This record gives sequence, structure tokens and C-alpha cells, in this order.
Amino acid sequence: MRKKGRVGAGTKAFRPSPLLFKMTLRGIVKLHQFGPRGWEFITEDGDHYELIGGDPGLYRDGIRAVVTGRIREDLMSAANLGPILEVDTFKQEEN
Amino acid sequence: MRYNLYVIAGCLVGLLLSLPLTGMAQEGADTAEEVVVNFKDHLPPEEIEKIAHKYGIHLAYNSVFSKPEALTRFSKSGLSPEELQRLLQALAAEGTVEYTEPNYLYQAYWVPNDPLYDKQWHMRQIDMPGAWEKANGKGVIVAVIDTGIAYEEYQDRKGVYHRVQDLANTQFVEGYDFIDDDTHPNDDNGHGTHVAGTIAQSTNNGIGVAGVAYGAQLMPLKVLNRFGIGNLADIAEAITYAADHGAQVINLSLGGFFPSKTIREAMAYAHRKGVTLVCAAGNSGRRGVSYPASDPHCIGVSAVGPDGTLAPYSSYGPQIDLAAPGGDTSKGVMNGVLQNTIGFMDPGTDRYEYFQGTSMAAPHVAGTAALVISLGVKNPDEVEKILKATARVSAEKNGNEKYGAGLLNAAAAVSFLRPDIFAPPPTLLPGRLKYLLAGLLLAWLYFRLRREFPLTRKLPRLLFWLGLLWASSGLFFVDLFPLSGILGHSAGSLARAFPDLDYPLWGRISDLNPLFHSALFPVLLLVTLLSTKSMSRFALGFTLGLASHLLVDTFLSSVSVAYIPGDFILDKLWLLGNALFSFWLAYLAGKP
Repeated sequence: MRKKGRVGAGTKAFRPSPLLFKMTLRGIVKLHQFGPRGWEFITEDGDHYELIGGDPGLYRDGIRAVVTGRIREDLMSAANLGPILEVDTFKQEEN
Repeated sequence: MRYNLYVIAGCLVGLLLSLPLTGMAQEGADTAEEVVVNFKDHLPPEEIEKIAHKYGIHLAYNSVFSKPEALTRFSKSGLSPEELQRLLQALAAEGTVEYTEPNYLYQAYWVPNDPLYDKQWHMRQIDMPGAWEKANGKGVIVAVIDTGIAYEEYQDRKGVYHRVQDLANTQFVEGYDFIDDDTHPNDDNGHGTHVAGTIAQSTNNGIGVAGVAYGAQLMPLKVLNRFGIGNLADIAEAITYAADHGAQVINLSLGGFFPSKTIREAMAYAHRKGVTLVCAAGNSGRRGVSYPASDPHCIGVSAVGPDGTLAPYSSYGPQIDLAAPGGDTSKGVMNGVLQNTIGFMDPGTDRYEYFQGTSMAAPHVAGTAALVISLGVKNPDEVEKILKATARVSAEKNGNEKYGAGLLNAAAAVSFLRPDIFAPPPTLLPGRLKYLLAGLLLAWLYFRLRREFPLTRKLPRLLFWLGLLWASSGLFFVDLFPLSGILGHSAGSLARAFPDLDYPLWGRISDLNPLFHSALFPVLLLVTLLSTKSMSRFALGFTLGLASHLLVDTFLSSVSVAYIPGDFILDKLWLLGNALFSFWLAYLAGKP
């Protein structure tokens, strides 16, 4: 019954940012088909986020982008992919 | 002379008690058409042919796989019972024969008539046909905390909703929509309806697909919006709502990266109220279990594909409790989990969809938990223990991080209550030491209060201690005698403390039988035996022993008593009240 270890233990070092501060990340958008789809953002450092919000133009499988947004520690999701990154603005980059 | 009569009556009662324990192993021996003869492994066919010729029977290999094991069978038609008996004895005496036994015809399992059931590989993977033979979850309420469920014809400013066709016969209790704050938690995403379908899709109704616990009632609780996102406060409130409104199982096919104190408190509250919580491990595909699956009060579920190995998307880690089918559509869409739901963000449509995810794995576990609960297991820790103990253990390296206790097996889980299979072997002292000490302590207290030791003669003294021991800790020393057959069974039942006989006789492992754990039997014994000289001492010892057993159950055990409503305080009052009453009875009856 008792469980050991921290939540997320073993994942690559994750740097939590204060709830209200924006962060800018460069990476690739990836679509997951779990039924209802989930969108993942994989950064150059190898960190993984679940993307929500922002302009629908960002939500295309495989595109490279620089995303500005913030981590929403107060949310959970059905896709359940990792920390939730709420997008404020993004800029697509050439592949 | 009269004492002898009582001794005989006592023996008869003891025998009656032990009879149900002997099982009915021989039942149906005559219904078998064939007899299996297992020879020593790798016995050459010529040797087997020789034996067959010697006894004039036709021995056939059971299947192509039987040759190395030398497993054969023959038809017993035409043989009288006496002839068969002689033949079996002769065969058993052959040096090359390992054993013979009747080849029972096993009845084929019930298979639902839902036309798409064939495509639900995930139901067979967890052995649902075997489980449906015993339970369908009737009487259990399962809360689905998700995007809602497509369960009613309803229209609001946001859209038009309907009940999907294969939830037609499924029962619902009132839920709540925490997104719109109303009592219409309809699904506008598709995720929640799919999850609900796995738990309690209308089954054997001639349309669509099947669900695990189709007799259970669903409580729709909407906390995720149409994009499948929701906030911690709503999720925590939904958990509390479910616990307060009679849910016995909560399915949480959702999660996040960060633990939440609010949710942890809500889950601890639900757990205290006897709710079994089941959570999806997460779909990160990496080590690190999401929250709330990693919470100790939740059964964290990872996902496997049709081949039974961890699905590539499934999160894993030390907090995984169980694995269940979540599908793997990377190997073809039909390797997903198939249920009826609405189109994605389209509540007006009705579809059968193959989904994948730990979200799909969790409801298989939640449904199976409902099946186990419907058989009378109340305590969520007990439910979890049963699900884990009956799971198929993986031989894979690091298997416990990927699969926890193993892959869910619903048929084994609902069979767990069969005491003939899972009765714990009687142990010697350790487990019963506290009962024994309590019995001795109470006897000492009793003699102090009575200020005398009224057992001067040998026989009454022996009977007093036998009674005390039997009712408090059981006559554990009989385990030391290597007995077998009916004698062993009778001795085995004596080795148990009398109140614990409720388990083999009554078949429930999760809670105590209130009659066996009451002053009923002491009263009966005292009333019938008090007028005798020696046996009254047995009744006295028994009454004190039972009082001590109930005291230990009151203060040193967390097991609840069946049929007693409310929280565990009433159960404790029952045990304590009966213990004190028994002690008082013994005190009165002990007057010289």
C-alpha cells in the first residue's frame, strides 16, 4: 500500500517555474492519439510538456516552434502527458 | 452417564463444523466420461501401449502437447463402478503411472451476445468470461470523474446531448457537472463516455460491446472541459462528492505532473469512507508516475497492449500497483480498447472507437474492483489486496515498476473469495499469540475477581482450558500432528479459533461474521451445559476465551464486522459490548 519515491522521480531534471512567470522554450510539437488527442512539446533539452491554449496554428504535428507560456500546476488532464504548458504566444521555425 | 452424552453431543457438533471444510472434491466424479492417466514424463509410447494392452483399454494422448508429459486418457463407458475402481487401483500400482483422475467436462464460459464483443480483446485479456460467471457489479456505485458521460437526452445553450446507444440499459445515479455547476454532467469530449463504457457498458443486450461491471451504477462527475482539462479544486470536490453520495469506487482517468494537497486530502477522506480509488498512471512513456496515481490511497494503473507487455506510452515507476489493458494503436487501430462513445468534441454523434491510454486501463481495474465489492468486500485495502494477489505476475526484469503486482485478472479476483482455494494455511503461534495472551490474561483476571480457583478436579480443569484456548486462539498445537484427509480437515478446523470459523463456513475474508463474533455461542453453551459439573467448566472457559478474542478484535485489529452500518466505531462497539457481556456471563456462571 505504501508507496515510495517522489512523484515524477526518475524523469529528466525538471525546472519548475513560478506559476505566474512566463518561460520561453524551443522545441517540437508532437501529436498523440489517445482517442481524444493530446499535444506534447519536446524541448531541445529533452523536457516534455503537454501543450494547451494559445493559437490553433501551433497545433500541427511535427512543427518546430519557440513557445512562450507558463506552467499550470493547478491543472490536470485526460491526456496526462506531463507538466501542462499553457501557451501565450509562439513562433514557428523552419524545420 | 449424562456427561458422556454431552461429550458425544460435543463431538457431533465438532464433526458437523468440520464437514463443510472437507470440500466436495469427489462431487461429480461419476459425471466424468473419461479418466486421465498421467505416466512418468517422457515414457515411450511403446510402454504406454503395453499398459493399454494389459488392461484392455484404449489410451489416447490428450493432445499433441501431451507426448513429453505422457498425459493420456481413456473412456470409462462400459465399465461398472466396481470394475473402474479395480482398474484405477491396478493402474495406480503400476510403477510408470504418476496418477489417474476423472477428466471432468468443464462447462464453456458465458459469452455476451454483443456483436462487437469479438473485437474486445481486452476483456478476454483480463479473463472477463470467467469473472462474469460470478459477478456483474450489481449494487455497486462507480463514480467516473472525467469529461462527463453521454447519459441523457438534454439540451443547453452549449449544445444538444444524448445517451449513447450502448449505455441504454446501464443504470445511473445523479452526478454533478463541476465545469458548468449544474446537475447535467454530459460528455462533450468523448473521453469520459469511453471510460464509463469499459466499466459498465450495457452488456448482453444484442448491440455494441460489453463492459466489465455492467450491473453496477455509474455516477457521472464532470471535472474536465471539452478539451479534457480541469482544475485541482474541481477534481478534489468531485472526489468528496462521490464519497459523500455513496460511490464505492472512483475512477480517475486523469492526472498531472504535480502532487496536490487538496486532492490528497480528498482522497484520504474517500479512502476513510471505504471508497476504492483507481487512477491512470499517465501517458508520458517514461519513468515517473503522474498524480494522483502516485498517491498511496490510489491504485495506480499502467497500460499494456494486446501482447501483455507495457504499452510504449505508459508511464511507469515504483508507484504502479497494477497493469491493465490500455491498448497499443501503434500496432494497428484494432489493438486499441473498443467502447461506445460520442465523436471527439461532438456530443450529437454516436460511435464505437478504439482508444488507447492508461485512461483506458484504469476503468478495467475500477470495474473489477466493483465486481469484488459486489461480492461483499467492503474495505478498499482489502479490495486492493485481492486485485494484487490475483494479478498475473510478470517475469520481466524490473516487472514491478512496469506492472506493479502484475496484469489484472478479473476471473481470479472474483474467485478469490473461495476459501477452498485461498484459505490461508493454519499457522502456529505467531499470528495468534496476542489472542492466546489475551485469553490467559482474562483467565487470570477472572480468577482474581472470583478470588478462587474452582478447578480442583482434573477433568473440569482440562475442559476449562480447552474451552478457553479454542475460543481465544484455537487449539493451534493440533497443527503439529501430520494428519491428512477428513481427520486433517477436522483437526484444521479445531486449530482455528472458534470465532474465526466464520471464514471457512461463511466464505468472506474481508469482514467478521457478527454472530460468530458475539455472545450468542457462549450463551447457548452456558444454557445447555451449566447444570453439568465438568462440561459447565468447558462452557465457562469457552465464554472467557471468546470474550478475550473479541477484545483483541476490538483493540488490536482493523477488520470490520459485516452487516453493521456506519463507520467502524459501531463495529468496535459491537465487539466490545459482546466481549464485556460474555465476561459478565462467565462471572455470573462461575459462582460455585
